[in-house]
Amino acid sequence: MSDTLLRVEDLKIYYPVAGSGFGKKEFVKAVDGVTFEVKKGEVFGIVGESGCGKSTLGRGVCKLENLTSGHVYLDGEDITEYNDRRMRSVRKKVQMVFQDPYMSLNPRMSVFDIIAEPLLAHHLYQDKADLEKKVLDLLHRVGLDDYHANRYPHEFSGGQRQRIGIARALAVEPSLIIADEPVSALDVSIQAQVLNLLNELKHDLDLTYIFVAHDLSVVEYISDRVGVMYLGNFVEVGEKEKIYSNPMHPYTQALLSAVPVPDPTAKRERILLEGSIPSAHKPPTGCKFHTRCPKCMECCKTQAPERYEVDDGHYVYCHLYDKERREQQK
Amino acid sequence: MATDNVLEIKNLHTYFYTDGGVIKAVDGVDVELRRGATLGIVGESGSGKSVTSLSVMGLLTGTKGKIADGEILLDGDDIVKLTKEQQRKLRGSKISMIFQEPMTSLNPVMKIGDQVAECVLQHEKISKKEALKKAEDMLRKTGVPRVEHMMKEYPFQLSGGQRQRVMIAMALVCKPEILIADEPTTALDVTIQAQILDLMNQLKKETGTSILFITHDLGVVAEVCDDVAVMYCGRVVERGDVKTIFANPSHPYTKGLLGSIPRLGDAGKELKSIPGNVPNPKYMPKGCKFAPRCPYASEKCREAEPGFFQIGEGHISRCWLCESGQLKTDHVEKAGD
Repeated sequence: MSDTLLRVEDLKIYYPVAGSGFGKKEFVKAVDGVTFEVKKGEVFGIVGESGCGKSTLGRGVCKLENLTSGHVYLDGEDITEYNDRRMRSVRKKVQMVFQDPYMSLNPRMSVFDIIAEPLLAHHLYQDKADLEKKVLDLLHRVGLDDYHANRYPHEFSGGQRQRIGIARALAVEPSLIIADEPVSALDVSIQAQVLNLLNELKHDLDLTYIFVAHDLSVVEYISDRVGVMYLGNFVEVGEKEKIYSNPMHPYTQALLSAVPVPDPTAKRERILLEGSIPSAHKPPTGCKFHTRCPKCMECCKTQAPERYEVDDGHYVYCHLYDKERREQQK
Repeated sequence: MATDNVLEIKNLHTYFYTDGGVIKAVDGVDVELRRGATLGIVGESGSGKSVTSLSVMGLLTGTKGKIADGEILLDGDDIVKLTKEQQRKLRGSKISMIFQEPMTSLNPVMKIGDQVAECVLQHEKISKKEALKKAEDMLRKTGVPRVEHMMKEYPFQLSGGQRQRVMIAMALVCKPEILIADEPTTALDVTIQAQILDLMNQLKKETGTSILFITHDLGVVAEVCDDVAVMYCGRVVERGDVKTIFANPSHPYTKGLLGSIPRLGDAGKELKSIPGNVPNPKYMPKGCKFAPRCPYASEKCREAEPGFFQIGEGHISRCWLCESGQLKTDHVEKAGD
């Protein structure tokens, strides 16, 4: 038994868009060849700005999006070609927590029904009393009370709704939870409550998370390893300590320097990037970041960079770290 | 009155008279904006920070909201008492505002150049051609690319960051004394947010405009503000200069807020979250509004609402804990509720 829970190989998710007339089809390359692994018991954070494909990647992993090419292995099993019926067994292992707790709960279902639904769908209870016990247990797990079970989503605040969403995800006892921006719609004091809850559940239930977010400090707080995305590709992947204390890719460096620090006495060098993210419909050639990169070289404009391992398990997709180039500099 | 405050909000109460009862969205706000400075108003959703800014702008008409009590002094003159027409003249020329959603606050069927020029035409007696020239100069200052083209484009053709730059150009084209920025960077990505904050700081230096900066992001406050007012349940609970508030917060709510943000480089420590939720405005607790969530709350807190207590130079806090041995300021909450 290996300790790799999920392996994603060269995953591509393209959306067709109206082409330029007859014949030729055009695509938005939301995810364009992503490779990574998630180990059992770790939190893998995916961070990036809007439109970089991080949510599509998260949804693609549990096949909520149609995969264009590439492979997804869960527990060594290739689930890429599974049809809906075979996915049922996978969905018992992989669950999602969504961003917007206002949209992801059915307003016409009581909290009890919302949390019981996955148990009913997967026939994971013996009798009515057992079902009730399981739902109430889940409610307690996420910090809610018995009397909440008969209420409806509109009666809850954002933080409480997110707790309901988490309870629903936990119902089938999954091993992997994909959380897509679970705290970005919440106020800071509530955000801290939910982050602490996620951490606690992870330790108690031996969970593995894929945590998708745009907030770099939140991702640092919760993750063990982090992947930074830009326009459908990872630019840097590695352990959190390495990424945050020693960012190698120019984009990661700029991104980290742009985060406002809650300390008025801190003085920092800020790398200001020009312009905004190009469209994923017609991304730049070569390295996709070259149009905004402060360290852009001639080769970046035509050649897409490969993956370079700069340190143990720390990968950077940038020509600056080309082996030959590094040796020349030495 | 010889003060260097451009804007003083005194004991402001803005209520919404709804069918379900009176909602006290703003219930006792006192802030002062110094000339040329940036004042940050921080708070979570529902704390009344946006309603405060709408009250200052006189933009409550058309809603069920009304200023029930209090004064808003602009250069020493109370603008609450002005007629609608007089208020309209102030808007855009002396006070202007940037909104949170650059997507929805621009007119989608009007060219960018015309939108910015419209503001000039409202307040100055000049020709359309001159107004467009002014608009173009201002847009250039905000750093939008290809200004000549963009003047003839529509909002949907621009990115979020560019739209926010256009909003800033509209707000500053008449050189207002006060700029109210209501969550101007919340909808933007961090790298774009950094660009916009940089631009606002730079324009502030050039034009000397004072800024009222409304946000929920303490990181942004630390970067751009000189003074801070922390709001909770329609009240200012603590006020002081930015360094004091971050280094030496005295109100338990401010402490809780600062404890609950994850910081870069500080991962691994457990976040100190504030338990519970913001109370429903229809069922406000008696006494201190933060007492139900406060770890230090005592019987006194649940019974009576504290007024402001002075802690240091310009640093005041609305908490009974700060009472002992401290100087009471003259403004104590009138027991209105």
